[in-house]
Amino acid sequence: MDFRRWVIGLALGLNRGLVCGIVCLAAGSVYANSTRAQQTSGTQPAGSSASQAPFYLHDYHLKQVGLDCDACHVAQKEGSVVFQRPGHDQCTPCHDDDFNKDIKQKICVQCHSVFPPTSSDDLLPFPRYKNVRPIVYDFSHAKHVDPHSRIDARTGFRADCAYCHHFPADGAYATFGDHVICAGCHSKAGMKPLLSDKSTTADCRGCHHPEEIENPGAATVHRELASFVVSGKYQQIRFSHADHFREKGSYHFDCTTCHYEVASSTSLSSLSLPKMVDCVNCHSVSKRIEADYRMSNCQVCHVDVPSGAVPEFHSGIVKPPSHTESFRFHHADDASKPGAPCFVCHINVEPTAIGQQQCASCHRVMMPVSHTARWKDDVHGKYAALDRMTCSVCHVVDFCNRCHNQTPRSHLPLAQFKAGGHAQLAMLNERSCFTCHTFSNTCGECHSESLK
Amino acid sequence: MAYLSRLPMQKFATLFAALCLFAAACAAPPSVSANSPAEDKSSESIGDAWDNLLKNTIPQTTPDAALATAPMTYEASPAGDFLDHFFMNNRTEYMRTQTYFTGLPTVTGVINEPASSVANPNGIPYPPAFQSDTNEMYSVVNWGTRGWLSDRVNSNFTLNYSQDLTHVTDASPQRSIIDTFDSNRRLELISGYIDIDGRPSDGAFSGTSLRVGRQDVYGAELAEMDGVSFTLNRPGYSWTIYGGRRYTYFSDPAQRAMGGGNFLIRFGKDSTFEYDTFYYIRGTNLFRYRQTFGNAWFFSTGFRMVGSSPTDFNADAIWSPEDGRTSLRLSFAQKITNKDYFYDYTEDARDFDPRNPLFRLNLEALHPHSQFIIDASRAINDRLRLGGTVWVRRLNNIQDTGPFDTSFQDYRGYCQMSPWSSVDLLFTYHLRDSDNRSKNIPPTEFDDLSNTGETKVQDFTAEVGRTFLRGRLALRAGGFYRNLNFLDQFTVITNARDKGVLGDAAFKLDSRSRLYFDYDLDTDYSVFRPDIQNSQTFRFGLAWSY
Repeated sequence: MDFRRWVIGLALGLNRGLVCGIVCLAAGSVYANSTRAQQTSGTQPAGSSASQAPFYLHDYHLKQVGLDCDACHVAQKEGSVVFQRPGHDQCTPCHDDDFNKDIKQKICVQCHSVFPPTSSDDLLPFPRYKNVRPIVYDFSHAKHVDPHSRIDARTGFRADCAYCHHFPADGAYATFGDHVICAGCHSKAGMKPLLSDKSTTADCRGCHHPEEIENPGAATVHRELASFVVSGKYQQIRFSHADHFREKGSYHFDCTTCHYEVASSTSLSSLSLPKMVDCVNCHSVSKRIEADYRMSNCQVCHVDVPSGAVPEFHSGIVKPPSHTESFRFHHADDASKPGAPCFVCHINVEPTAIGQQQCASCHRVMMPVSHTARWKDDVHGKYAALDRMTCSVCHVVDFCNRCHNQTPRSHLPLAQFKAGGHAQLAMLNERSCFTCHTFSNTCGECHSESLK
Repeated sequence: MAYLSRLPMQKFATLFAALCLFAAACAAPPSVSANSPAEDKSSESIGDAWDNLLKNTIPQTTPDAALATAPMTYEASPAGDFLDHFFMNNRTEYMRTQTYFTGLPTVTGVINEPASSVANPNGIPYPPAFQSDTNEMYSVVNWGTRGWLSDRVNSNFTLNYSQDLTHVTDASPQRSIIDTFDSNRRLELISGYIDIDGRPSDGAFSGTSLRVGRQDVYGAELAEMDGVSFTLNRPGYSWTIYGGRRYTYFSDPAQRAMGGGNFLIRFGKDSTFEYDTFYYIRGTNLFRYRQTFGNAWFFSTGFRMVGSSPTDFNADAIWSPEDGRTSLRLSFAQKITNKDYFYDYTEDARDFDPRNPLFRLNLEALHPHSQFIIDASRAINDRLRLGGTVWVRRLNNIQDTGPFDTSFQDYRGYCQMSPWSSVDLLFTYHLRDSDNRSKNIPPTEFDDLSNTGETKVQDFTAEVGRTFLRGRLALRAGGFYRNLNFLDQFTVITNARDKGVLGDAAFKLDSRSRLYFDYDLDTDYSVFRPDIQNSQTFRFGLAWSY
């Protein structure tokens, strides 16, 4: 009894705690979002340490020194829109002593990975955070795509996509546009921002946010994106655009078949790249896809799957690790979220973007292990009495009545049951009688009120 | 009075009109704003820019090799084209149920002896109550097309067929849902709809889907209907509105029309707010907020109303780190009022079916209560996982205790082990201990069931499984044991036992086909069914997909 009280006390205490927690979590979320920008890992530039205030190269030179972009970023040659990597020539006007007399580590490590520098071989990547952070965060595909969706006759693909995104020899992943691509339009007189070898700082700021190159949290908007958005590549995923292009004629798809949200994206933060559920339209249900390329064969895409057949826990016979015993009772959130991968094993499940619509597929046909041979005749009532809500997950809308409105086995032969056969059953389990009957509509027909 | 009776409908109509306006506003495509002069100019300028780029400015360079890849040769034919877009999943099974009897009479005194004109002192002779076996066949077929004739159009149909292969008598313990309503077969169209989806290039209609036909829509309640639903999915929000006519194979209710809407707003990548509404005689409204914190924490809270009465509040917090080894779920629920549907939202629809002499099950409402669940699982290592659940419910008012509603403590624990490769063991234990059923409180009336019901339930299950041939063949066997303590007006039952054996085998013929075999042997609570010793079920089936 003490234990019960303890459990009850614990439960009620935790109830209150959880409600308070909800409030705290909400407040914490707001606070976390506001402070996350200040605490982003990997934003501390080279040369700073925990004991020193972080040094942000671009922010310092723009705001503290007052330099314009073109002080460091100069064209490779006159008329070119390709800018060379800033080197000693650009730094020397201010840092001549730092390079030639008193060599300072803080200066060198902005570009070199070792100190003292040995050669150009130890230079850090340029741009500094290439494939890690976006360099044109606010790029809007919606503003740039061709409103007429014209097709390039030579390739059969959308001309605007293919203009900006090219493919290297292996054809695996597309490249992103660079200054040369942008200059196709932005080099013309009157265009804003103007891209030329004489672009001003205002022009550069039309696309770039230099203060945030080293410090993504400098703006109120948190300009940091998932690595696969920045790099255009998914980790541990094997994929080739070229392999898909070969099938274009057969499947009548285009760039926007998979990249269907690109045309409406107004910033890289809202750019949604294809998800696993998007592959299903072709890789799961279309017969022309050979079995080796169906989604049931994980290693078609997932490179971390060992060679051979799919793992046993994905085989549709053995359950995956996440399918614990409690998962049987608490999988609603997992199964109803968008992109839930139930369909990979449960072949009757239809994947949809609206996750909760997937539920019906399983709950129509799968029978719980508890529904044994004696379940329907006797056992189910005792468990339905304990937790009817579990029943209602599958048995919705007057399912019970279908059986409960027919004469039960115990009532036959009916004449003898009415004549007296019901007495022992009623004394043993009167509740079962009142599951369907009431005293007034059944018992009261024969038994006097004095029985009450 | 008439005004009062109309008031909920007026409220609903007002709400629905507001929702429609909201939906219409949301449905306005991003390009609607392009109707402004400034945006029109911008649209023209980008079009002109592409004109210049594609016709004049850009030199006609050789396209990327990847883009110029020759397409695979494909010979289209009408039949081949259809088969390329056709899918079908099928599951067909044969089931045999066999019951063994003890020779004792049933609890109502029925015995397995031929009827005669002379009274039998041993009981009431009625052989149909002792049918020993039956054979049944079930089949579920799901088929449809994707992108056939038009890549905008999909179709989906699900047919459920069940058939008694042997006659089942009215008093047989083998009777099942197939035998109800004087039928021994059922053919049910569970779903049958056509989707018309917007293409990404369709502007305002991109991300839209129109579904017409027999369908299920999950929302504030599950809507099974013949009707229309329309979904709009945008990066920042999505909504579905639907309406139609309720379908049922089990009854003939007067009220048929139903409808509703699901509206979801995404606040960034980490949080969503959802409002679901459903109307069928009464309205049900559900509000839900979901938030993720980092990669491990997920928080969800919901509030539900039926009509104008608040009925449920719940809050869940789930901790599930990416390594998948640990999960923790904390759940709190408060039943605020009992003014909702006690089991089935269709219960308000009066049934006109002459074969349904009774209206509904008398399960009564679920009364206000507080409920807390702690569920945790932990993979100790690659071969052992432990987990458990504590579920506590307390009725707010002890006087609300009833035959189907009581305070309780429910404990569930399990252990999964994989001592060897391809072998796994599962042990589960479940205990439910109900409060407030005291024999010391005598019933006040003959039909007073307030103290009636299960006081304690225990379940123990053990299973062992083994896979062969790299998972193609899977065998599983186990057993279960149930123990029940029960209290009734006139009877106290302790340790009523039920036990059985489970076994199944499955073999993947290929990537599309699977054979399976299930067997279970199940005894009964002999105190309730003294005539039945046990029942066995054999189920053999084939699941395949095209």
